Amino acid sequence: MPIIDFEKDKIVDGYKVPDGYFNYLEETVLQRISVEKRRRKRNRITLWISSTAACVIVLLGLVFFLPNEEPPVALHNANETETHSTETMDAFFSEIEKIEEKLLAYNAISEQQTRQIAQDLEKQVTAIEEMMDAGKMRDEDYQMLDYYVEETMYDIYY
Amino acid sequence: MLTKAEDSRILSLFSNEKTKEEGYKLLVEKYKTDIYYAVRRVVVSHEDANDVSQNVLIKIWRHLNQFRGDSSLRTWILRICMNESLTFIDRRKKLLNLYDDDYATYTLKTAAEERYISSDKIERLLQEAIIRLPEKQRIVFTLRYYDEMPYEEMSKMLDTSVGALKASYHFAMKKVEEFLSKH
Repeated sequence: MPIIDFEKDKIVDGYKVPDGYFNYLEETVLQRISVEKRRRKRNRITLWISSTAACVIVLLGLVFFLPNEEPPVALHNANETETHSTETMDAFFSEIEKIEEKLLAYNAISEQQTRQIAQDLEKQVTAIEEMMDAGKMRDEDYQMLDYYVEETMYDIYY
Repeated sequence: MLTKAEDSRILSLFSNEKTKEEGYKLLVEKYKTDIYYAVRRVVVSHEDANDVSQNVLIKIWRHLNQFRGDSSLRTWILRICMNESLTFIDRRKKLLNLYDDDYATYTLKTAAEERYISSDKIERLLQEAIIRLPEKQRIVFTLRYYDEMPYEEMSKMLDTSVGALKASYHFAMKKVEEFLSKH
């Protein structure tokens, strides 16, 4: 091929396009942009709905799960146990006092009287055990009462 | 001057949400052929050029608000064209598991089967010579030869020094001349 100064005599690139291609390109791109705009709008709406839903969930969480003015159940139970325990202790010691008074009153205590006092005491012990099983007695109170019962039984029988 | 005024109008319209689409339509109208041919000279086939050109125009829609005016709008657009074309070629090479030389052969085969190409012998020979250039050299050559882009503008566009670009163009020119003289 003869040498040509192609830098001076520019050769066109020779790339061709189908008829009406540039109109097609423009229309296609504008269509894609329109689809993208719709998608973005939809995404924004979805994002807004998701955010609102998330806020509602957090709000509900705060309403239902944050501590209110009432004490927690565990603390409430502990307070209740303490009240019951104290009441039981008071009742028990009141009974023990009565038993001790009886013991002191009877110089010579009959076997029948002894049985009666023991029965009264056992009722108290049963009541205390029920309280303990129901979780309404503190461990330390129960141990103390147990000790007193043993002591009183000893006093009754010996 | 007219180009600058037109570009300013396009940018002004695009920056307003109400007139954004109008600005974009003006841009597409003005630059669609530049975009297409800049891409086509790198990727060669019409189908590929069509896909890449659409992607370029979509990218422009998404990112035109980020245009800071450091270069002309045309340079900024052509930069997107080159980046998108190179990304397209890289992806295609990976997809077909082809290295540079094999890809040049593949592109030549594609060009030979291409419908939308000139039948003029000299034009086809020049195309073949350009296709045989490495992609980046091809970009420098086509921007300089067809678009007559000043080296300074090309330097901003390709983040390459003017000296390196001149050298690149010189080597590309030698290769093209050599190819044409052999055929």
